[in-house]
Amino acid sequence: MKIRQIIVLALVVGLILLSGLTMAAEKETAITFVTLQDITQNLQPVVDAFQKSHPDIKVKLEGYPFGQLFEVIETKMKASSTDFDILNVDIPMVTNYSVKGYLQPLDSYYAKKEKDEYIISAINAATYKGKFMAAPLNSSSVGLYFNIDLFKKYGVEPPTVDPKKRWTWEKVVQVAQKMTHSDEGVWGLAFDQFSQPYQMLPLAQSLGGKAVSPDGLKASGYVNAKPWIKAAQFYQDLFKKYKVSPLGVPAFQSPELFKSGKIAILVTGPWHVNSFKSVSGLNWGYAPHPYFTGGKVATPTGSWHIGINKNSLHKKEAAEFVKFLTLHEGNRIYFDGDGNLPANKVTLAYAQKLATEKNNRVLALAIYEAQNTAVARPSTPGYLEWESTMAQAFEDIRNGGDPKQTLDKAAQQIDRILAKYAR
Amino acid sequence: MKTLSFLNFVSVTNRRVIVRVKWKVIFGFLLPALVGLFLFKFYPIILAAKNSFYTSSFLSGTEKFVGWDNYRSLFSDGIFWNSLKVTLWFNILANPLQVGVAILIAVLVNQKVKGINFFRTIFYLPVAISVPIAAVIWGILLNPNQGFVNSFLSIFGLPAQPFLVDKTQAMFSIILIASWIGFSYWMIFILAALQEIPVELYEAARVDGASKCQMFFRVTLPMLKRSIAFVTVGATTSNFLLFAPTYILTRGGPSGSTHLLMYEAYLSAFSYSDMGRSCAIMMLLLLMILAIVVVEMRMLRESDT
Repeated sequence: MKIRQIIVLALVVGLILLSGLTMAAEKETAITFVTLQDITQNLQPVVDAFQKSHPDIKVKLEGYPFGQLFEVIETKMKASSTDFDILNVDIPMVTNYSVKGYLQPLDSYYAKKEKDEYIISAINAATYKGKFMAAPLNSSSVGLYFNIDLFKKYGVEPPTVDPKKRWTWEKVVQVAQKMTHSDEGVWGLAFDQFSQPYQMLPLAQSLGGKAVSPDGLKASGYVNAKPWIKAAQFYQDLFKKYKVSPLGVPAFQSPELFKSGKIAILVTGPWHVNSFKSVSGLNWGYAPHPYFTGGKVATPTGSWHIGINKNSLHKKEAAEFVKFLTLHEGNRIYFDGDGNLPANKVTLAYAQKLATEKNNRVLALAIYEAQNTAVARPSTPGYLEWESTMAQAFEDIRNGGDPKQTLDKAAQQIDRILAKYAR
Repeated sequence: MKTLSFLNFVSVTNRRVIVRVKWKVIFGFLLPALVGLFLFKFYPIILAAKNSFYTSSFLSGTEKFVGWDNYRSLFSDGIFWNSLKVTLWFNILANPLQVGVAILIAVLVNQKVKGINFFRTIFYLPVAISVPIAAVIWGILLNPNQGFVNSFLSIFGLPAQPFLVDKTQAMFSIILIASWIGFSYWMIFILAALQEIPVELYEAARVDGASKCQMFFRVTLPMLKRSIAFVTVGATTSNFLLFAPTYILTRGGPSGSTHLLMYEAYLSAFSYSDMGRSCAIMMLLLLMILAIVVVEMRMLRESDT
């Protein structure tokens, strides 16, 4: 009896020691990158190239859908998780994450000339209290994709890619009405990101609306002012009055409908180009983002930044990858797959050359908009709260809620939630 | 071995000592479960209670004690009152529905008919599908444009319904989805209890000239009382804490008509980064569930057959 117990004990201890030894024997550092599921296929070639030149670092991609990514990051950071090292930071969230202490400042990992490679608006958005918090991965723009075959079928003149001949929203609605045929399941107009502030804000901005107070802490008097109410009413009319847009389609689903030829005009950005090109038989064109008659032209911009988790146990290796992805060759590889506007001057020059050489009108237009009509999203520590409340408000308006009442309630709610950032 | 011999020794002597020894053994076996219960259930509740009196200050990066402030701000917040109203309405409708239909299905499925096992399987299938997946599938079925349910209605010439995108219909749609799983899940408990009822009771009732209806109300239901009490408490708790369908399908909309308290607690914690507020909501939910469960147990315990 006694000898058997000793043998069992020895085996158990031995196994524990053995597993400890094998763990110590690993010379490779593994770093995990919490990112957006949709871009993992564009990140993989960058990871492959990085691992080739850095054989002692392994990068693991952990992708989440857009609707969940932010909450996953909140959950992990609240638990001071060390199970990931790098994260996608949506450009308007840099302030929020910095205030909450989620990000490791990057200044110590960068030489000045490396930082200068990024475009100035991206650097400004990524700086908090003078510290550089997250490296810009890319920027963005939004325009109109249109289905050439549908326009031909219903005998309507399609828009042109020339920004000087930009359509107004009023004209878009007129055309969309001619294009909507419910018996064939075809809708005239759809937004990629239905009700999401990224695409709703430009509607209000075109009418002169502002998102928050200058200190970023008050929404009353801003999101419930006349421009927003007018924009919200216009948005609701698309579904209820003109019936050119479908109800019940959540954000991020319209591109699929466009690919199956069910949408005549789709409002979204250059990052879908490769996906649309891959659909055989889909004839599409690209045109500038509309504006309201008498209003100014405002196009969305800003995209993803890459930050380092403050709790990460492999900050040095993480910084290596962050720099590889956002500077030099890595950023170019990423751009080749992603197609979205670069935030890096070197990649931008490469993109500009590509646009002219290959007559890539989508890219050329995106670059034009980024330099002439782009308006950034609001800078507030409470962006996540602002965005989720406004998204819910617009979804309610889409489903029939009164624009003024809904926006008033949303403004009140945002004020209450943002108050904690002033404490 | 050692314990047993100790017991044998003791059985000859003082009866009181046997009880003491037995308790030590019993406690020893229960200890792991009790530790788990404490660590994963009671301790988080105590932590949540404590957190509900604190708030995080972002400017100083610390936690500040604020007393009843979180509760006070909840009671002065229209969103909280709306969520409370929505949650209560949801439960008033969903709980009796789920318990009632569960009993009905259990009785139906308890018939000694050929092939009854097939129906038992069919009725149990919803339980095999996790709630989030069921929510996603129902979301597709209830789509106002291309949903299966609307296509089905159009066969009978009925107009297409908005379901989840309509202020009034959304709540009922969520009740439907939650109950779809609830019926099956609670049915099993009732079915097990049904099969425990001695057949002699029914025979005696038949001899006394009772009709099927009288037998159900005078024999079946009273014998099921304990099981119904269990199912009622279970259904109440899970309905008060319902989260997945609202998160996946409606996000509290349209116009807050499906904004359950649990969803507001989630938003407070992970969208608004206000853990204190979230914990305060959870404490209030806990108190409400406790109060309602006590009432339910009282009601179902009156005459113990």
